[in-house]
Amino acid sequence: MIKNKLISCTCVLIILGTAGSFTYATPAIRNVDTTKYEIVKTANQSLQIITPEREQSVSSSTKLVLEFTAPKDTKIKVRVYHNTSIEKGGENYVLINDPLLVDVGILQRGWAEIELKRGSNKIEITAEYKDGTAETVRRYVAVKGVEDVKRRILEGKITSEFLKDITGNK
Amino acid sequence: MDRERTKTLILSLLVILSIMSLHRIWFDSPISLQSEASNGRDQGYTILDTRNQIISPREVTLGFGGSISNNYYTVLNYQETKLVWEKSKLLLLDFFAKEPNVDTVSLDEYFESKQLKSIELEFGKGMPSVLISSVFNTMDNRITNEIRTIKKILIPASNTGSIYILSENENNVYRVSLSEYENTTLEDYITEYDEDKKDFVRYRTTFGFVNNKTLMPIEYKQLLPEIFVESEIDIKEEEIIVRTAKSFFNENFDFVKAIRETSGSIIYLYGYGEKSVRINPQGYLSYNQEMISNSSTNILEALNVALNFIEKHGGIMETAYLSEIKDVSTGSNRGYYFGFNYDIVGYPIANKNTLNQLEIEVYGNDVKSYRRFIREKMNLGSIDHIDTDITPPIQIIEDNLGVMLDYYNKDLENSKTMESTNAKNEPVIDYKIILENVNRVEMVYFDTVEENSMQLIRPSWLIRVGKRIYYFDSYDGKLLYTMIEN
Repeated sequence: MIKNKLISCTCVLIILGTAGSFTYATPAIRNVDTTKYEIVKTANQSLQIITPEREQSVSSSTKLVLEFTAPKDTKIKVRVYHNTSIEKGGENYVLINDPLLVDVGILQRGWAEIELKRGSNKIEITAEYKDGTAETVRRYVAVKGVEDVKRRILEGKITSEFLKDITGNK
Repeated sequence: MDRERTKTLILSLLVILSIMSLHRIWFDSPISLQSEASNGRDQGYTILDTRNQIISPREVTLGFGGSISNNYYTVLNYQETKLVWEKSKLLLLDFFAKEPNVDTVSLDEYFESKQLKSIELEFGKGMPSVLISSVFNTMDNRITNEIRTIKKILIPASNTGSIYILSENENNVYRVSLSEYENTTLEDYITEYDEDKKDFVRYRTTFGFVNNKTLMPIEYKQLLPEIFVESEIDIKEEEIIVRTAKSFFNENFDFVKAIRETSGSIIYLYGYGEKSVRINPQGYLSYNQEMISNSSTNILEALNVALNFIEKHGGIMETAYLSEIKDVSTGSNRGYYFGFNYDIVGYPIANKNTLNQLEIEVYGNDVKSYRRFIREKMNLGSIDHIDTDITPPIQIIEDNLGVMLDYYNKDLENSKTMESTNAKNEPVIDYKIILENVNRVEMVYFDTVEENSMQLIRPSWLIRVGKRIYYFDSYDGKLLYTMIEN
């Protein structure tokens, strides 16, 4: 009898000792006071991609920041495709992410951090405006390793365009 | 016979057991520890160690370089900060100990260097250069002669002989350079960090479109738990309270009056309030000494006095760092204020009472005031938010622009009243002013200080706009508290 009690007590103590972590989720609550103030200078009335500015660019990093301006209440959807074609110059873009959704707020500006893959990537940014119309803008980013850049330097294939691409200068 | 043998065996076992127990007491006795600590030479070493521990950066930012449009940084947690500080010290030693050139340069040059691979060390408010220099066992050198306070040190990773120092009070930028010098150890560290830790939080100059260079993350995918903390002083434990109070009055404790307020606070008074110790129900301790007859002239000696005093009254936290230093005066006596903060689970702790959790004012060998409110993590586990991401600060700023602009206009009005300016301007209505004035975004653990024990504290965003600090719950984005920084 005593033995049984001892075993039960030990079990309870072990359970209490190990139950160190528990979880719960909190719904996001946001208070937006948009009645009194305003952005005096309004953004363009359509989607504008700030970065990457050029339609085609080269990057050495697989992490890229997309920055854009759009009117308030526009819904932005970002899809990233990777070119899986093994043929030189061939195109076979495959979707590589769950579409990222950004609601444009009072700043009329948005950001998204996107993951690219080594090689050619196509970024499709779709804006759904408040009035129901939509617009899609595309950006192509080639991700090259530092070794690729070194090789191009050694082969003397460095053009001013290439340099602008990798430094991000316009 | 067998019975006798058994008795002898039991007796022998008891003797062995008692010897072992005595041995443990000899080794762990607090008396022996005390006598060790009171040994002057050992104490000297302890103070030196503590001083080197607390003179360390409050924040370290790694810059990974990259193209202008895709430049990113990360802010290190406590463990990483310590590691980088140790590595940086090896390099900085050359700049403090040798004879470098010190030139004034523009803030633009500082930010241009920061865009490349770099390490930025940020120190406490008003940090004198002599204190940082003391870590390198040199007090009189080119840096201390030319630069009075050090807010930030920027070390370009491909260090070819130059570091940059941003001074706080003068708001000047200095380039400190050594000829024929090269050290690239930090560059390797940054490259490895970038390659090995792919999922670190990337900070960027997101508000660059309004010429604001403050770093903040666009997304924050790191999982930070809510934790339970308790105060180091439990007001219900009378014996500990008496022992704590006694340490401030020593032999005069017999002449001390104890008063218990209706709020639950306990006050110990000596004389007519010449010395007092107050402990509130949350465990906040404050000590005051009215009569001050000494002055401090040497900041290093003043810091030693402060650390000695702290050592005798609660000790310093393992993760503490010097977060603020300023000159203070009482009548004709001059002294120094030292503020300390500490990290909990890798991030600074914050509450609405003060920005510094341990404060001390030193005048010569006297301590005029001493306040401490230390929370310790409880072994109760933590609450993980596995289904919710931390709200990025950009989102929080955007959602609270109205609130922030209200406070901005209110503060503007108050400052005009204080300056007795009658000119009444129209309130600012453009949100841009808030975006331009955001000057700090930092992850902290904010303590609402409601309970002495079992207090749940949450990871929170500290966002500073001008001089106003906001604390937002990083999960639901709610404003927890706001205050003006002095």
